[in-house]
Formats: sequence, structure tokens, C-alpha cells
Amino acid sequence: MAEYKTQYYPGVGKVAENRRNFMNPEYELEKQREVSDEDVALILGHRAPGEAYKSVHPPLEEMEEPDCAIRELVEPTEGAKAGDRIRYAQFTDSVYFAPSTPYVRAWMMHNRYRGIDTGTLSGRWIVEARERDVEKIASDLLKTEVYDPALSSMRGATVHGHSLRLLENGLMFDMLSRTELGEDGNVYYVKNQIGEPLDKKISVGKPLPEEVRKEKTTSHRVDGYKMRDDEELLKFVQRIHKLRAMAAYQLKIEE
Amino acid sequence: MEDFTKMTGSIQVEIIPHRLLGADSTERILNALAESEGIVRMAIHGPNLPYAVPYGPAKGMPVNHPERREITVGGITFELKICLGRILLELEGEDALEKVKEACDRMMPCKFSVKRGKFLREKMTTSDYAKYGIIRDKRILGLTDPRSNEIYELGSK
Repeated sequence: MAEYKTQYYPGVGKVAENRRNFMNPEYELEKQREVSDEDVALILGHRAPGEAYKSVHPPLEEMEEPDCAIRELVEPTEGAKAGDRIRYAQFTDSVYFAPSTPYVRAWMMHNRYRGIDTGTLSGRWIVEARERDVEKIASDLLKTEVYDPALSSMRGATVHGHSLRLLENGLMFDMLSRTELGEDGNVYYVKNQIGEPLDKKISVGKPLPEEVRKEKTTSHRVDGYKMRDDEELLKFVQRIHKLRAMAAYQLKIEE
Repeated sequence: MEDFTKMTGSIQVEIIPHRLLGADSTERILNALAESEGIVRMAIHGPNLPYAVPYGPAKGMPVNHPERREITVGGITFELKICLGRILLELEGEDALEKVKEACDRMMPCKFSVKRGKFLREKMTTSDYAKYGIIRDKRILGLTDPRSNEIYELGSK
């Protein structure tokens, strides 16, 4: 019997391929910038850098856990081992060729990380996990190709901007002005994700060039790579749509 | 109530820049339009720039958005509270439209579209009545923000 190979996403186009890459845990995301752990903690705003993690229960090693086959089988995450609180990180992605989209981020989370709860709304994506796990996830996302400093942003509240036109300087609109474009061309966080001013500016690097954006994007757009150009993907989506409609009306029609 | 545009023979246009414009560009463009002849009414739209964080854990904290500041247009100074998303104009006629297009070509920092249509309302709404009373000056209709809680003495109230 042939070995089963996970099929992360259908399609033959470059957008489908980018989506598959993001979802495939064996694909190593390209690191594009340096953001220190201290800076990630500052942007998240859950604790001061260097401050001890607050806990909701003692470390698992000190707890007398009941005999349970599942507990033995599943290794806890670092945050769960230490008994950290549950915290969150939230990202917004612009519709103008941002590298990731909220749905892709959620699919990516399910395949790449454990011990998380993720939610997607129209323009934003949130992940909840133990505090040090959230910091690790946010750090990975900020440093790699999933993030474009101009078109993605960490926004804990007042997220709107994802479907609005870009600002004159090419940044995504943010009514709380959490990021700004510096004179050196780098994008800086001047506020944390909920809009509280930071004591220092945190650089997240330069915005990606337009041609790189169009190459790396995971969103289909009429002025970029159209979904209708990918016949395999289109057939798959139509099939799902048909089956869902049939099941919803309980029409006993075989495909 | 008679249609204002029919009464005056004017036309309405909507100018949509392809980027959201900051205070500097807004001031430049509006001043260029203010100098251009033939504009009967003008309104600007765009996403709000709040003074304080409206909700979330940091609710009430000042935003200090760099684009929310006072601008001077045609000698009148006022606080710009939005990022400029579109400009609605009522013009005297086709000649004025050409002048407006020229002004935009000269001043707009990005691409823009101009649409002809009907963008400013002619009749009072219930909200208008509740807020301002009966508005006698028909030129004001359609220029007020229905979501704003600021009080202006525009009508009989």
C-alpha cells in the first residue's frame, strides 16, 4: 500500500503552493527579520520583559496527576508544563497582497503548533495559548515570511484596516497608529497591540517590494493571481460547495 | 421639496483617491479645490481618527494620531478628524468639472477616480430633524455626518 501523503491544499497555482507551504510543518518558513524576545513581549503587552510568567496552577511535575494513558501519550507544551496563564495574540492582514490571510493563519496554526485555540474573523486572526507559547508563536510569525511590516500588523483591539485602501506611505490604515514608517524605511511599532504607547520604537524591518508581495501572497485577487486561473482549485471548491448544499437540504443524490 | 440640482442645474461628482490621504495632502488638495471656481458644495468622507481609544483594554487612552490635526482650507481653520477617503462635490456645470480634474491632476499624490452621480441627499431625514430641527438652508442637507454626536446650530432647534 502506498504511503499516505498529506494533501494540505488543492490547486496548481502559486497561491495554492504558498498556502501549502504555510500549512506544511515540514516546510521551514523563511526568516526575514530579527525581533528580540523582549520586543515581542513589549508588543504583546501581557507582561513586562524580564517579569516572571504568572501561573494559574503549579508546574505539572509538582502536581500529582491521575494515572491516565492520554496524559502519558501527549507531551505538554512548555507553557502548560509551567502552568502559565492563557494569553492571546491577534494579527490583521491587508487585502492588498499581504503574505498571509486570517484563514491561512488558522490552518497554519492547526498544523504547526499544539495547545492552541485559534479563531478567524473577516480581517483578523487570533490565537490563544499558554503565555510562553503565545510569545513563541508571535515571535515566529513576526520574524518570518508570514509577515509583511506594511501589510500585516499585531492588533489586539480596533483591528479595522484590512479591507481599506492603504495610506499614502503604503502602510495599512490603523486608527490607533500603532506602527509608523521611519525615515530609514523601516516600520516601527510605537504602541503595543492594544494601543498603549511603548517606551521605545521597535523595528520590524522594511516593507516587502511589490513584486515579492505578488509572488508570496496567499490571497487570490483579480489584479493578481485569479482563483479562476487555477482549474484544479476551482473544481475542488465547486465540489465542496455542491456537497454542502446537498447535505444541507438532505437531497439524497449520489455524486 | 424640489431637487436642489434641478433647481440650480448643477452636477455632483465623487473623487476617490486610490490611497487614504493624510492631513498634509488633504490640506493641499482642498485648498486647490477651494481656489477653483464653480464649486457649490463640498463634503469629505473617510475613516475616523478618534481622539481616544474607543474600546478594548486601553479604552479612553489618548491616540495622538499624527494625521489628526488642524488644517486651514480657504482661510478657515478646522480640525481634520478623518483620513481622506473621498471628496463629494456639487459643481455649477461641466466647465467646473474640468477645472476640478485639473486641480486633482496637479495636487493628488496618487491615482484617483472621478465619478458622476447623485451623492448628496435632497430631503431631510428623521435623524436630521431630531438633531437639528427643520433645516431651512437646503445647501446644508447631505453635508452633515449622521453618526456624529456633535451639536451644530443648523436648523430650528
